[in-house]
Amino acid sequence: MILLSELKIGEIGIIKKVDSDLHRLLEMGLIPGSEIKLIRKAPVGDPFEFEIKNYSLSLRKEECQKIEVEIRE
Amino acid sequence: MSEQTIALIGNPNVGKTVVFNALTGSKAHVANWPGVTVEKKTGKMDNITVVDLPGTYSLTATAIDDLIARNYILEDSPQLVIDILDATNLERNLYLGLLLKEINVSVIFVLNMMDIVRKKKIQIDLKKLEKYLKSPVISTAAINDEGISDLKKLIKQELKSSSLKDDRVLYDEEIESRITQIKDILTKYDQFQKDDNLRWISIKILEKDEKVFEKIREIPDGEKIIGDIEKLVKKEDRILLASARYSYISEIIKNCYKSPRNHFSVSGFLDQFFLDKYLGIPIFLVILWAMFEFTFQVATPFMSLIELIQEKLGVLIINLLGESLLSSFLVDGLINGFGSIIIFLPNIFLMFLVLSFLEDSGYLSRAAFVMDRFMYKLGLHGRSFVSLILGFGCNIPAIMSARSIESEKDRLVTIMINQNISCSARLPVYILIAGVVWRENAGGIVFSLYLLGIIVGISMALILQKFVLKSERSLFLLELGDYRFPTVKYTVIHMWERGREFLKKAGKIILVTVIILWFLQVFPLGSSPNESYLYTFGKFIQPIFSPLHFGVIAVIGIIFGFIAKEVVISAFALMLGVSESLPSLGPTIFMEFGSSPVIAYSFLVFILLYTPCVAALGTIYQETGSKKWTIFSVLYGLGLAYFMAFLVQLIGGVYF
Amino acid sequence: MKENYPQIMKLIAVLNLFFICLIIALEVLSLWIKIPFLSGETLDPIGLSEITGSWPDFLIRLFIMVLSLIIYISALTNLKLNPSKAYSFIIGGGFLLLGIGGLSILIYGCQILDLLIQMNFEGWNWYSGFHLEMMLFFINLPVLRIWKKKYIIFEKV
Repeated sequence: MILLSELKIGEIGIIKKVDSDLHRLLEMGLIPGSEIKLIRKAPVGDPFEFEIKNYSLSLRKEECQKIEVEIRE
Repeated sequence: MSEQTIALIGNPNVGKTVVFNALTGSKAHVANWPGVTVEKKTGKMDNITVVDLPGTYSLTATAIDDLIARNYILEDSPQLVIDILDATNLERNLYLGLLLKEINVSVIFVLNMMDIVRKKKIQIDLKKLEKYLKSPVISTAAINDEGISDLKKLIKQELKSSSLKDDRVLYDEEIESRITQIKDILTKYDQFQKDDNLRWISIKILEKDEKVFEKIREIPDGEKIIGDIEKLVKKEDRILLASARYSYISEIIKNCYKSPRNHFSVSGFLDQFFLDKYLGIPIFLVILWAMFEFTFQVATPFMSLIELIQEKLGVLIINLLGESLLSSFLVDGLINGFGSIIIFLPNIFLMFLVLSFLEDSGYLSRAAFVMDRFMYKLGLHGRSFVSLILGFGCNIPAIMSARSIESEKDRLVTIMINQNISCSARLPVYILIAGVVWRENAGGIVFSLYLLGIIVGISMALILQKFVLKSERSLFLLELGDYRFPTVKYTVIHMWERGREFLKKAGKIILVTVIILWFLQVFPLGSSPNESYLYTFGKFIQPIFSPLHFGVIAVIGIIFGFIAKEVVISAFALMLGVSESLPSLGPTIFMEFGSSPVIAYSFLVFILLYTPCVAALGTIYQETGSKKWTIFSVLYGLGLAYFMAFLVQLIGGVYF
Repeated sequence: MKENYPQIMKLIAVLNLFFICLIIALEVLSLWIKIPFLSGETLDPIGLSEITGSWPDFLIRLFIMVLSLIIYISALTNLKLNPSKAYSFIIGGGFLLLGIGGLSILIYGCQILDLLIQMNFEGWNWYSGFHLEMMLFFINLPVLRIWKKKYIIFEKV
């Protein structure tokens, strides 16, 4: 298991653990079991752009470090 | 029969505004939601009142937009809620739909953007969707007016037979049983017996919703109820509920929604360019430059035209009435008053035109994405950047645009430092004075003022967060929606609505003050400029500014600049008894500063940094809802301006 | 006739590249004319160096043109390796230059309008405020047409 922030560009992770304090992220679809793909990082390396539930969402590294994922082979 | 009300709700960027306009015809009434300053739009569809709720992803207690939307639905109980969904992105859009089904209210689901759905060859089974959602579902492409008349018919039909059926969407047994248990506990208390949203309250309790808990604490047995309930709430319930909703949604999607594999992603394609690792920032800078070029260059002929009309009108009136008190009032008071508002309209409208264009096209959220890292260093949100940039046009809409920033702290800091961003109203003062004093180097001087404003703003942001507003960083959530070609119609509507807001708010104040200015300058009747009430007042305050070497006339300029910064020049013109054009006025003003470039520059620094105009202050008060912050913004502006102006003179060697 | 979109896009990129190089060359040339210590005395009897405008204006325009140069060079070099990126650069760059070119035309038009309103043509030459970037607007017009058919054209890329 790795942190969401450690995902490489183009890799798809399956969310394993999300802090329940991140209620708004949960409601945006970042729930355990969801697939999340890192599309790109912003020009200066932060924030990240992900594809989740068929739309693209941008999150900061700080929040990505509170989410654990498993890389989908 | 009582008046019927319906409410529009939906995620941001689903075309909600377009549906609203299509339903009501674009005559919207814009006001604020009580207590907060999020914009509230209402309109009329025949006799039915249509309320446009803020765009929201969910109905949590932490985000201001969510709270407004849910409080409206719960407390004002509209007869019908219309949930507008982006049909190309149903999965996330349906989440809000399911949340609505938890509330005791009739819902119509509108699948918007069907034109894009067809282009993307997505197939949606509306009949099946209706069965899953247990509410009427209709499809539209509001941008082409497609499906709007059917939607109107459906709304009227639903309003007639708005008998509520128990048609909730159910979660799994374990959760449902705990929801029922909480409901049973609550029904024991009088306060809840008649509440027809017990199911919603129970679910929110499971989600540990602060506002619901607060409400329960307020009632007499509150603490006891909470004690009973808390045993039923598990730590991971928020995750369980969100997962339950999304798994129900995936079932719906599996059965009702077919999208071709690997369909072309508009945003993915263009973002390879606009968000390129190396070119992303230069591209953003070029777009920013183009935005400013457009705003200021295109405005020039319109401003000339306004000036010309103003001048001709003045001459005409004087020819008709001769030199009298009345003609002086009409020309110097009224026409100049209107003129000083209207002259900035081209700038303001053009600025809003580009902004609406960038926002509607989907680039503005990319700009926030590209710039977030820099704003993050200042403790702010990527969106603050856009708001600060807007400040270059006018601080009033800029302060209003800070609404889109979710965290209270970020919003407050963005509002507070906005006044340091040099707005376009200050520009005429710079141009006039710098043009006379520094001639061909005036551009550099003006640029240095803009830069100083930015540096001061950044420092203020850091200082405010270090000492005054200590709080956690806010959550950064930014959807990068599909790029779209903005339609002329909606770009213009957006521009007009925003520009009109400025006119209403600032226009009256500016007009009234210019008339007061004229009055104070003319009376007592028959006096020379040095005997007028205005001069007496200026002379009274002037000693405060004598360390800065500002004379009485400069002080009068500052006083009236408090009302609107562009009035500084009118004040000079009135006091010195010269016309407002550059050739005659500039040199006279320079003489006022003892022909010292350093004092002139320090005056410009003072103009840049001191308290924003009354209209902006009014906006700050409205947006923060706090007298404390409004007063703070006056005081820190004055203090900072005085200090920096003094510093300039110190460094410039005026004292040695 | 069936339109060959990849070919059209390639053509747009090459045309853009040609004009961008031309603009940069002319700007640098007029700069050389403008700076007296390079040429000894003014080589600019008709005031052609006015095309470059003021210094900040000149530098910004040069920056934009160099950026565009990079955009189209990387688009053309990526054509085989990463066609999706190459096409996105041509289309995205096209939008950007449509904006820049359109803006130049608009501003030029507004300048003339302003002169008409003020009825004051003294010291005005047709080429003051005239920028070659205007050409880029017309070159990139086909991008709009391609963009309309994006779902058909880019499906396979």
